[in-house]
Parts: sequence; C-alpha cells; structure tokens
Amino acid sequence: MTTAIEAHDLRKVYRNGRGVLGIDLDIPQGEMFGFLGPNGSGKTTTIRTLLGLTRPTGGSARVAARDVVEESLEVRRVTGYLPGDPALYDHMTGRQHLHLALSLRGIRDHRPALEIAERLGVEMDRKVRQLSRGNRQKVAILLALAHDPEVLLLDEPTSGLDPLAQDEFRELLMDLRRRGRTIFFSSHVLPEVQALCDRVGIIRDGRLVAVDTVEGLRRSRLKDVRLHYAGEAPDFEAVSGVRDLVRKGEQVSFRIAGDPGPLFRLLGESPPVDVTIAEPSLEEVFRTYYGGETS
Amino acid sequence: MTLYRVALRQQFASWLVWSIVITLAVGAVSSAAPAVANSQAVVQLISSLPASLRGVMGGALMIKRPLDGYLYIKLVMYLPLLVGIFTGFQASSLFAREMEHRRFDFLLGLPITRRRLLLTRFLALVTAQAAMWVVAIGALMLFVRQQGFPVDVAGYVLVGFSGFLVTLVTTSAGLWASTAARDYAAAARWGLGIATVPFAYDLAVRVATVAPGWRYILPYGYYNPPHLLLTHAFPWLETVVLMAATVVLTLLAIRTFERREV
Repeated sequence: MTTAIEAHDLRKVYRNGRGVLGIDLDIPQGEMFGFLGPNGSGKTTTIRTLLGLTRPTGGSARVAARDVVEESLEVRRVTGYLPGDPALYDHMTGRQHLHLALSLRGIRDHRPALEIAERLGVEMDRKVRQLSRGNRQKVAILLALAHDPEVLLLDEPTSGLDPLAQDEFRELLMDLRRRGRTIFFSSHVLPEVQALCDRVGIIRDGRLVAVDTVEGLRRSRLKDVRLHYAGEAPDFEAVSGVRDLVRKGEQVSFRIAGDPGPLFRLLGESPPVDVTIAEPSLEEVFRTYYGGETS
Repeated sequence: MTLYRVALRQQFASWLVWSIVITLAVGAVSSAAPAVANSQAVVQLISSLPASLRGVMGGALMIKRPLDGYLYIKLVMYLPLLVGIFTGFQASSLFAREMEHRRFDFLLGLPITRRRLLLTRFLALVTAQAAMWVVAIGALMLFVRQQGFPVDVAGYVLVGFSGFLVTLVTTSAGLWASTAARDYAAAARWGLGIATVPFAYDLAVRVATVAPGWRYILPYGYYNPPHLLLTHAFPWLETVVLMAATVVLTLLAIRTFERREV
C-alpha cells in the first residue's frame, strides 16, 4: 500500500528547546490516524511541519510522496489543512472564502464543495465576523475539504462544533476514508479518536511515545481488575505493575500494566470468588502516558 | 474573489478615511495660506509676471520665509508626507499583525508561494496609494481653481507622479519592516518612522542652506514640484532612482518573508 505520510526523525526545535524532537511516522494511504497529546506537546508543530508551513530543523518528511520542504507548494496543492485556530477574513463571507480558496487551487467546479457546505450546514452568505465560533469552524472545515484532497491534516477539527455538526463531520470523514483519502487529525476528544481512527499516535514533549491501533494500545497498556474474595484478600501491592489499588471490604480493585504473569500466579495461589478483567478506555490509556496530566 | 481583490478590500476603509483627511488638509492649508487669504494682491502680483511664469504652482502662492515656503507656499510639498504616513502604516501592517497572531495558516495552507502573496498585497497597496494621489492632487487642483486661479493640469499630474514615486519607496520600506519586525507594534513604529524621519530630514536640509547633494540621500529629496510645474519635464532621473530603490526594498522584503517563521 502506498505511504501517504512519512516522517523520519522529523525535528522542529525552537529556541526554548521545545517543539518536535524527532518523530517517525509511516501512515499508509486510506488510513485515519489520530494524534493525541496535551497542549504544547508538539501536535500543531508536527502538522505545520508536515504541511511545509514551518521548516524542520532536522529529519525529513513526505506527504503524498512529496518532500515537505522541497515540494511544499505541491504538498499544499494535494492536502487539505484545517488550522487549530482558523483565522479567516472577518469582512468576507464563507462563499467568498470558498471562491478564493478554489480559485487559488485552479478549481472551477464549485458544486462538490457546495454539497459539503450543505451537509455541514455552513452559513455561506454571512460575513465571518457575524458567525459564531462553531459556524466559523464549519467554514474552515469546508475550506479544508473543498478540493477533495488526497491527504487531510486536521488540527482539533471538532473544536466548537455542536453535536449534530460533529456527527455530520464524522460521517464526512468516514466517506473520505472509504474513498481512499488519508486523514491525520489531532484531537482532545478521545472517544472521537477511539470511534474513528485506525491507529493512534501519542505525543509527549515533542516525542511520539506510542503508535498503535486503539485496540492495541488498550490491550498493551492497562487492565482494570476487580476481585471478590470470600475472606481476606492477598497483598496485591507487591505485584509488579499494579496501581490505583482500592480495598472495600471483600472487594479489591486495581489497574495493572505490562506483564500479567505475576498477577495470575498470585491468583492461582489465592483464588478469588469472582474476577472481572476489563480493558480501559482510550482516555485511561492516554492518562497512563501523562501520569494524570491531560489536556 | 481573487487574492488581489481581497488585499485591495482590506485597504479600503483606511484608504477612505485617509483620503478624507488629505482632502481636508489640502483645503485647510489652501485657505490658511497667506497668499490665498489675500488673493487680490496675489492676482495683481501674478498679473504682473511674464505669461510663462503664470500658473506656476497654480499661481496661488508666494514665498515669505524658507519654512513657510516649504510648508505653506509650496503647498504640495507636504502631500508625500501625508500619503507616506498612510502607506508606511499600511505596508508595515501587511504581514506583521498576522504573523504576530499566527493568522497566516489559512492563506499559506493554500498552494500559493510567499513571494506571490507578498507581491499581490504590495500591488494592492500601490493601487490604493495611486488612488490616494489622484484624490490629493485632484483636491489641490479643485481648491486652487475655487480660489479663482488658473490650474496647470499637466504640471500637477507630473507633481502627483513624482510624489507617487517617493511614496512607492516608503511603501516598499514599510513592507520590508512588516516582514522583518519582531511584532506589529515594532512594525508600526518603523512604518511611522519611515514616513516621517526622511521628511524631517528633507525639511531640515531644505530650510538650512547646505550643499544640494545632501537632499538626494533620502527619497523626499527627489520630489521637486516647483521645477516640474515650471518645466513640465518628465523626471526621468528621479523615476529611475526611486524605482530602483523600490525594487531593492521589495526584493529584501521577499527574501525576509520567505525565510521567516510564521
């Protein structure tokens, strides 16, 4: 399968030492990739570097088989970009923005874009200054999708959208993925990433600390364990990987990360009356990478 | 809607306000000028001049002291300053404000080079500036005519063109400041300085009796309305020098903008 986005040791280090400190990515065409991380972790810098808006200080990256530095113009031609804080022209309407964007892309047929506008419920003929935050976001989403791009780079796309618009937007993304488009988006809305994405990357302090499928991340990281003992429960605190231990009478609950072998050995020695082992939500997985610090 | 039209539209409100200011200033200074206040005496004076000298500066004004001569009697001298303040400010805000607030992502996310973006906005500002000169010179001719003096249309058109060239340099310098300044406040200070400091220098050089060569260091020195009105000679040398300065400053702005993190 063709690679849509690839990065090798991609770095963008600012004077304060922050930024993106070496990222490797390999996202095949047609994949929807979620990019998670709290504010300041390097999500936006990564996206802007992939688009060629900011020059990397090291490494390399290609989007749609084009180098993001040498062929930045071509990258932007085949990419749809939604900035995290889309600053539009206050004095222009959504329709004028659309005309401007499509004319700069050399596209004359506006009908597909207008269909997207209708699906999203974009108010096309009101000036941006008169629009609510959510409606501005809809205009910005429309501008990112209007030219049917090969690759979509979306920075917090559902920010400010009402639930109905979020649903419609997700439907649009699913349609695009079915048509083989590659979607890379950062989000704080973990259930959304969990529902939509094939794979997820977690960035912390400018480094990718995990890349896996949502299921893979959930399996590999944490399990929620609940045990019911008829008498006194053994000491689970000594078991490697156990955390958040809570005892309530005969009930014991905790989370375990990593190799569950020692736990099973202890359970074999002191079997409980009842046991429940559940996979955590993505949010819980995410928290394990940040030690409770979330965006 | 094209990028040029968007850029032009961004200039419109400021252009309109500043055009009104210039028209009022031209009217106010025309009315307050000693020559206009005592127009009968001026008419008699002009009538006594040879025909070839009538109509110089519209025939409305006369010199009393060097400073008056600069600010009042050669009424048109301060027009590049007024237009220059507009273009200096506008040019300096063309990119600085958006860079400071990181508002370029929509435009730069489109397949457009920074060079094209810069030149398009520059062209729009130059258009606004040209229109402002039309307003300024038009207002001047109107006021002079209203005072009952003959208007030297060809001469004033040359004066307007010459002033336009001077403010073209101001615009391109402001453009460079806009791409190089740390933030918008710094760019605005540069814009104001670019418009006013060279004018103050030129004023000082013209009022003081120094060697004429000192005048030609900065752009206002190349603006010489009395000569143009008297001779109707196209200012070739001034055109070449000021256009060259504009090209150099614009290229510097492009280079800076292309290397700048936005």
